[in-house]
Amino acid sequence: MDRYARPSAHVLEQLKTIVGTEYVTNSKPILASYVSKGIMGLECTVADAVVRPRTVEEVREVLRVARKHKIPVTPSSGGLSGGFACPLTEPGGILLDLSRMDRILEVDADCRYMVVEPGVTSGAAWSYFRSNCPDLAPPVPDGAPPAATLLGDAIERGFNLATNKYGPQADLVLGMEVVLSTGQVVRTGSLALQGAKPFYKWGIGPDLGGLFLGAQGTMGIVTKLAIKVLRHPKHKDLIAYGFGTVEDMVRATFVVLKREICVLVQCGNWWLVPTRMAPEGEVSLERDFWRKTGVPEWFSNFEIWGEDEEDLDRQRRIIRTAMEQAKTEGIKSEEWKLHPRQKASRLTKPNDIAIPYALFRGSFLFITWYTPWTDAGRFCRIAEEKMIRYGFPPVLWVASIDNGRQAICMPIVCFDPTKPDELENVRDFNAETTDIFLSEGWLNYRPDPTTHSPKTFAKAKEYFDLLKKIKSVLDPDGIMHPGRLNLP
Amino acid sequence: MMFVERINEYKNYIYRCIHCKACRFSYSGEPDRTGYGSYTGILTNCTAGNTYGWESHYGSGKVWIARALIEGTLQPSAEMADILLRCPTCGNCQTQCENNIPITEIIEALRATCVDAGILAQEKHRTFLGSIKANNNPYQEKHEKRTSWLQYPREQRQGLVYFVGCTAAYRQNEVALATTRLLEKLGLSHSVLSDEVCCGSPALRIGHISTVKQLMKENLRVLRNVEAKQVLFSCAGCYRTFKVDYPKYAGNLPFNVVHAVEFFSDLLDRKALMPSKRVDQRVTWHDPCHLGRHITSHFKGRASIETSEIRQFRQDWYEKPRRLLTSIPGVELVEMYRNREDAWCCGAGGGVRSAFPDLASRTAQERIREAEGTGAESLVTACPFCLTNLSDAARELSSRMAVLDLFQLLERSI
Repeated sequence: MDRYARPSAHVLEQLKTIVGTEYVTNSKPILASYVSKGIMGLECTVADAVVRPRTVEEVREVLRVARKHKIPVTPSSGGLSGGFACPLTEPGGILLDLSRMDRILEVDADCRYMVVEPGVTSGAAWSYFRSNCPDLAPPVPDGAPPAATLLGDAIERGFNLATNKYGPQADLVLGMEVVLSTGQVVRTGSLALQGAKPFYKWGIGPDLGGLFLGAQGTMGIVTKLAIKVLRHPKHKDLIAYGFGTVEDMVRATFVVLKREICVLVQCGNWWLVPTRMAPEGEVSLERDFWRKTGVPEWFSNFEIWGEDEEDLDRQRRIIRTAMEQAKTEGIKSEEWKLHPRQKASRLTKPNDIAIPYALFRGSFLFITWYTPWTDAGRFCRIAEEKMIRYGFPPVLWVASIDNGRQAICMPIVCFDPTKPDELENVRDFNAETTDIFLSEGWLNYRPDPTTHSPKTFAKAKEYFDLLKKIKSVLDPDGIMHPGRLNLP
Repeated sequence: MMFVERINEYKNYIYRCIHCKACRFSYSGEPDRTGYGSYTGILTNCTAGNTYGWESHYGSGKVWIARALIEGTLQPSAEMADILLRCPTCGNCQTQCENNIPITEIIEALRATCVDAGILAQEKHRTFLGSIKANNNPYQEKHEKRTSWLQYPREQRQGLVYFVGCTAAYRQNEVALATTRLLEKLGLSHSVLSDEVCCGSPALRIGHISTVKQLMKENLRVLRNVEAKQVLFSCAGCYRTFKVDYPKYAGNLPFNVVHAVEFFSDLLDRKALMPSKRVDQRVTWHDPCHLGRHITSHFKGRASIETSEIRQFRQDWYEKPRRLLTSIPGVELVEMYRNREDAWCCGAGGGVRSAFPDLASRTAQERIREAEGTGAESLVTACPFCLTNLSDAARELSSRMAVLDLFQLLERSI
């Protein structure tokens, strides 16, 4: 790609002057260590240099040098998001590792927000709140390990510990500070007004925040995030129900969702259990075996938080009554009595419950789509049929967003990463299902640059053209990485 | 691709890494647990990663370096060896990994790969490797002095052999003396062999496998000569090497391998050891990595599913030193926040203390501060190498924390 250059020795020296010699490297083993493939995508390329700034001023200066020399820049907040926080196109250019920017700058317990730098992990935020604000919780991602960053989850518009109640992580964002490739610093929400606190999501005119949420850093580098923190009562419970079919699961769960009481509602099929337990061949995949252990064909977990046991009891009653009501509509369901350890592993936050699917075949991809809740059953049927046809175990996870207004549906594709044929198989599966899902009007979450983005934007040409124009304004020299949106 | 054989053995595990980075934490499964001061919630627990910050210095980064070697996009280099060696191979990353990747083994295989490729060792490593070859110990001490701490020779056939190890023999004589005195007080006859040589752990941890094999051969010859039935260790590193590594190269050993912690705790269970003299102290316990995580990982092996047997072994194993401590009248045990499987490493192992003393010192100082936070007067451990590094750190910090060996404390109570 002629329009981009690799950092020369001279450029590396300039970068060292900005952030310090010990925070710039083009060491090959270090560069190789940042590569990541799996969970969210198979594409990743090796950066030419990794730079670890500490301050906003350093970020601006690095961008100034990169712009002058036409070197592409990819920011990473700290987690690597399965490779999608790594460079995706050649040349890799500068990987801006923002993990040193790891300060919790402010917590306002009255307005209930926190301001963080990009490298604040959910583990660090959780520890801070346990010590300093035990009645509040930072909006940590659910199912992700403590290394996941609050900012990464927010700008990805990801999932948090109370997404059913509050919507995706991006809905909690109150404001951002963004450094553009030109060095200009933009603030969104009420932060845009000089001297104002980030207490209000909407700014002093049309909101610019949306340009940076879902852009994965391609529009600019988010260096500060103001985000809501949540009331965190001590009383929690998890109630689970089992169903014979996905259609019953979706319909019955919807009856509960419309009561708008749960903080998190996660559902799925029985395949979720064995495939995170052990390598294929070491764990039974016989349905009868798992039926005998009490694992339903399909199930829903309803997580509830209460001020006290009485409050929890009230919510438990609502769920059970809703399930009884569903039965009158012909839906078969049965309460799934979870072992206390099963409950604890789900209720513990942050948890890394989503991680061990690599055990089964060696790696996995979360290929995630948004649908209206009422379409989730149809989504699962299509995905299940295609997964079986492509030779993948049909592992399916579904969760509610915003009390069932939307669903996030996710085939967990377990594959052997050591076999090139199998990688091709994953790509073919992805391509075929993307065509189907887009034709159904469903949206991809965290698109990959080779399949989802081109296929999606082919169906939204005007939108893509406008995005490109906006990007050319924000990043006139086009040094910010094209990212997963493949925005040139 | 010529140097990847050792790494290829782990290929299926290496490709499991999804870079979730859970390996850098001491995730106890209790993120709401509160401790004292900053020791609360979920803490990071990677000594090298915490110090240097580059992805390559965390366990996950090293796994991706291994993957690049397999894929031929990277070759062994001095730069790579330098990164790999700045890690005490404490094993935290391996125990934290939800995808059961044997990261510590992979790191050791990467180091051996660099050696295979003719990458020169660190200067300090060359010094101790030379001393092992010349003197049978890494401390540049004469072999003849190995048992000079011993008041009178003891050697018997077909019995218990106390394998002293280089650190207790040349640097921490008190540990060796306390161990033998304890055995004497309990009326347990035993041998101390003047012919024992370095177990090879220092060489093995930095990738010099051929050196270890030679040392192992010599130690096994010496132990076979006296027809040892049981070999007892007060050094966690020697114990780990005999218990975990020797059988990889030599098959089943013709004697039982037992660390003094399990040996004396077994006697305690059988009431053959009954501490009676008061030692009024508030103490905290440092789990040595080679006695803790390395052994529980070894017991777990490649098992994917954590069985009740594995859980029970882990629970019992970590309780042994604690039961010994609390059996001493007057001893009050207070736990550090990061303990057992989640313990913070002393920083000495894996060749770090010799080649990167600043990293070793910084790591040990962190442990001293964590111990101070408990309000304990003494930090007790059961590894002479941890003892050395932690004692130095306490001195550097002008800490009032005494660093003691468990067997010294135990011996005082008998």
